[in-house]
Amino acid sequence: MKKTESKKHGIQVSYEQLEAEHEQLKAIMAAVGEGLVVLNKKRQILYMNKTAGSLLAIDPRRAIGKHYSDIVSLHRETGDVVEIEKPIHKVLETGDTLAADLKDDMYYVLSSGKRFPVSFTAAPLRIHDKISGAVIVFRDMTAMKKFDEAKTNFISIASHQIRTPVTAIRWYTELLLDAQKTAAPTKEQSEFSKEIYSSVLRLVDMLNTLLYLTKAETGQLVIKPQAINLSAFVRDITKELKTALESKTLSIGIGQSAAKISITIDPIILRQVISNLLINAINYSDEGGIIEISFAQNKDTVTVAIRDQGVGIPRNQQSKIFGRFFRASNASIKAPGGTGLGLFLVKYLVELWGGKIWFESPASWNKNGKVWKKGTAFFFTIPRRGK
Amino acid sequence: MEPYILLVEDDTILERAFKLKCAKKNISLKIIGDGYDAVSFIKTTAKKPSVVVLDLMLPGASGFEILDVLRSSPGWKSIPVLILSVLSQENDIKKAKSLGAKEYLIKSDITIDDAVEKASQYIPQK
Repeated sequence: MKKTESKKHGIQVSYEQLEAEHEQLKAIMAAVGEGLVVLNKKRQILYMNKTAGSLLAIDPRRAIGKHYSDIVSLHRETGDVVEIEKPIHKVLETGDTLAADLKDDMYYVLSSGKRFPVSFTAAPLRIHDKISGAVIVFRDMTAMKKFDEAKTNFISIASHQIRTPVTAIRWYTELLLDAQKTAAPTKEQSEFSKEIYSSVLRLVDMLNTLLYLTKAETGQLVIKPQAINLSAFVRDITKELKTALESKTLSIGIGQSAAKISITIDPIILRQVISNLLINAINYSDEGGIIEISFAQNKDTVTVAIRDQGVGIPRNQQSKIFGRFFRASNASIKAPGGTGLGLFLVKYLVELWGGKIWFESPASWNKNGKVWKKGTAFFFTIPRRGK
Repeated sequence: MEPYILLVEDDTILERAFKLKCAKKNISLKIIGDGYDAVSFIKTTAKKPSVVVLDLMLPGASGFEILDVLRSSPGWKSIPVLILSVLSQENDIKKAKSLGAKEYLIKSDITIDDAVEKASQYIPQK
């Protein structure tokens, strides 16, 4: 009797243990913060946890026995449907584990039409070493995606916001420089104001370059070619730089031939290139002196040259001048705080419109029969469009 | 009734610079620093400005909403609006222009003199 009772007792204990383990497992699966779905080889739902149920808007108990593809479909960002069969098929046939994360841009789409960005892993369910189904664990990535987009936009947002105090410094320095024209400041005060102004213009330039580069690198640059009169265009840009030129007593000469040149190009991009090169010319020039913009043309190309009489580019650094973040060793003395992105961006943009860019340093100057070498000359080409 | 520039801008530091420049050039200026106040002004005033200089990021109604109000308010449609903003994204510029903005100026890219000059072009000569 005792033996049978103890055997019954043994079975009872085992049964209770099993039940306890089962309850524990159920509780664990229910508590898992991600959606968990178990499918059989026919892709029917064997089990769905609470999180999966709420993400897929279905009562987990009702889901049992249904085909997974009846409840949810998998889409790419572009809207193309990825047959949910495919990843699951692969898992069931080959035993591979598949995963998709934020960068795969996948979406779960419910029958109600509701959709959310999803990351998931799909793994084979092995029992006694045989694939008897698949286990899918997935996560709603909506919050994550928003954060990721915000991060990408951060430089853009910060640069935009920084413009406000930069504008304040710029405008008040201009008012100060204006007031100093009549107020007889000390030599020092006048110098200080000019230094502040030249730095704030660099800041403006840096911000614009950063914003432009972010746009270019994330593929947001939209190119809109227009017919442009080169002379008027360049004159416009030099007008904007009037205060900067005056602060260093520089004069600007624009070649006469520009008057007849008309080209088709995106004006915003051209402006960025010319502005950048002119600002460099101003920054690396000493007090007094000339900056010259000249033009040459043939039936295929227009060539623009921007020449300055400044400090030039040291010979041993000339090969690196268009490199990203590169600043020549004499640059910090003349114009501290540059990002080293200006010429990198200029080259990128010139090549974007199919042109070429190069430079000569020291540059050749030829005036009134006198020939000498000083400063730097940047050249870039603009291909003419066929008519 | 003096012709004047209406500036809708909430940053008091930038407002003041604009005001100082207008005073130097003897141009009358009215400043409104809140979007909702701007909307009420547009809807109730009898003395319309010759030109509106409009910021986009404002408390209350945004510059875009104000553009909308301007183009649907009688008598305001013909008054030129110059946007003066720190935003420079393609879609912001496009949106402003499609809502009737005549020019789009980026604050940090322009001198205070030019900003006031561009607006004063629309003030009839005395």
